[in-house]
Amino acid sequence: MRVQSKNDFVAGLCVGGFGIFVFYEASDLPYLSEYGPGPGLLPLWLGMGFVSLAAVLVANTLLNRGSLEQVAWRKVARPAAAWIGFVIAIGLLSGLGFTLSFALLSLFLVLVMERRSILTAINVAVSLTLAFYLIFVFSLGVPLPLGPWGF
Amino acid sequence: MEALSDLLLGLSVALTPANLFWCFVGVFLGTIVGVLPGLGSPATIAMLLPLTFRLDPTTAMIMLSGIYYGSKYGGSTTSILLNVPGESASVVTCLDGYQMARQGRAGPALGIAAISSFIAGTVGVLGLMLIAPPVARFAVRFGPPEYFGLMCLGLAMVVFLAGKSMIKGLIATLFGIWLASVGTDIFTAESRFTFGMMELLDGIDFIVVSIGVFAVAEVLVNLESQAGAELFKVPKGLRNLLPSLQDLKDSRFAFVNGSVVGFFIGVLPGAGSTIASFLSYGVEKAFSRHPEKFGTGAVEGVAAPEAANNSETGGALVPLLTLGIPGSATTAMLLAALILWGFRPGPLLIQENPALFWGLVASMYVGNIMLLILNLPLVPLFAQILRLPYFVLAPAILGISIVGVYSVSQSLFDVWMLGVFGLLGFLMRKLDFPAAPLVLGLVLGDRLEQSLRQALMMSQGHLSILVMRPMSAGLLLLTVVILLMPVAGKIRSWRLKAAEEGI
Repeated sequence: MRVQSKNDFVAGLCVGGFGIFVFYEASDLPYLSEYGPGPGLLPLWLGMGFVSLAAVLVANTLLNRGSLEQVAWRKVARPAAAWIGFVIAIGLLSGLGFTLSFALLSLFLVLVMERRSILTAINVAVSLTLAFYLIFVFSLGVPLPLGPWGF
Repeated sequence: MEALSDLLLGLSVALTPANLFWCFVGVFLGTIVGVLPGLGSPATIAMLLPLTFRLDPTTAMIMLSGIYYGSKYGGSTTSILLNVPGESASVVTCLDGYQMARQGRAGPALGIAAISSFIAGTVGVLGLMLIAPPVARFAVRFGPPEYFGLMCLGLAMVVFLAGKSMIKGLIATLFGIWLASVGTDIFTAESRFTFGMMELLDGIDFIVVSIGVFAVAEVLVNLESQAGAELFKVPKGLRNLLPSLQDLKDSRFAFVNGSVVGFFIGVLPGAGSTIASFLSYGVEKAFSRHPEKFGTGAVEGVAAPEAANNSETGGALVPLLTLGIPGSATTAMLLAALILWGFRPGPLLIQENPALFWGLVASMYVGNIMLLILNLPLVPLFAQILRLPYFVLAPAILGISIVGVYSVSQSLFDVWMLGVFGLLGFLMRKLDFPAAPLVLGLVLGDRLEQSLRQALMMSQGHLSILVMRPMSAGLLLLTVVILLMPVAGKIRSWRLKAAEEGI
């Protein structure tokens, strides 16, 4: 039998696997407690729900009823790079503080992702960082992670 | 006649220069709090509460309530412009509001949000004024089985949010409910799915998930196109930046639907504006002549949830003022304020303190007018944000997302989770899994489980309690009918196809 939508097939298998995991973890929790239903009640049924729905999704792809649109995974390189940049900026928050981490993230997105000139990138990074500082820290007093230089 | 004379008393209180000034301060602060994601009205009221002790209690209550309903007006702005929902009730506004913005209709979307907020806010106040005591008595008859029915009805809205695949919509809803179950079980203090991480003991905040799967994922999806791609059209001319007569005509049922649904859901303690906005969206789509347009930029898809979100504030004040029952974090703060000033919220509040109750009601009329005057001129200004090139908007959206998430509990762990949910949202978009049902499941999952377990405790484990009480049975029956709607639609299309082939 030919699988029409590989993405739906793989997604179904992942959801099924996740459902088994939820079911397995929930089986360690008490289904009933002295007050009545226990903390394991809902997760156990959720696990079964995941597995059942995953089975329907997989069956649909095998019966050629799944989505025929395929994902162009080659195009995912750009968003993947942006996500990695975002996650690195999050990692830098505790060490450098919000202001510098955000400036670096802006610089990366404008310079590397959008391929603008270095001057434009610096301009955008400085302007946005200043605007964020003025609005959130200075005007509204929102507490943001601070770096070793106090900003 | 009596209500009219009471309202005149209220207007005499609300229209004093001092009360007008503090009402304006409240709604202005509320709008700002609403526009900025993460800064919720409960935290703002908590911060400002000590500052109000110098004010007359009625004046202070007028200001604090202004923050409450003002924040609902502002909540739609970032949802429409940037796909960043600032609160859970604004998630539904993202669905059509952001699509309208992408089609160059950000101005009409923001305008219709302000107008529907004004209409529904006024309807909510009318409800508070005219039918508060009987509606409050009805609301207290809602026990755990009825709440379970209501939560099921709310979750059934997945039918209208699922998009192309119902199975994927249901999987996303289950995942949301599972996320809601992460953390400490409130009945037994047992930790669930925390994987030994202390930070997960408090559960996962909806703001982390909703900003991740909507805002961060949207930036990632947009970055897929080549650098310099034009994403938003912003038409020139003031006329194109405000809703047209056709938009208002198209939204007329949504105004009524959102106002009524929002008010009655608001009256139920703990139900909240999220379920109100999802339900009104579902009702609007179910009765629409062109349901296929929902999710692609239908103006009614913005009007209905925004109306429900705002009408809910009037409804939420009903149990607070007439029974002393707060239904949300914000109304709990207002209850604390009333008690601190020496009032006793309950059935006698209106009789014992008519100036406070009617002054507050009248100030809400005035405040709604102030909000409309304040928000409509801001529409063209806000719409200009989309004129910024995307290489400026993308880092700005990611920055707002980080600030919004971090400001909730000052936790870097939450910001890491934002990254995780951003990636999850992106993968869901690529694989055609809808994000709105996930947030729906997350927001309602907690209440669903609590009410089910409380109901089963009441009945000593007998599930029959859910169908033996007329109100819960009715709600569950309605849930089943809604869930079967797609099946009925499929059968009808098969029959039509079969009939055509027969010809």
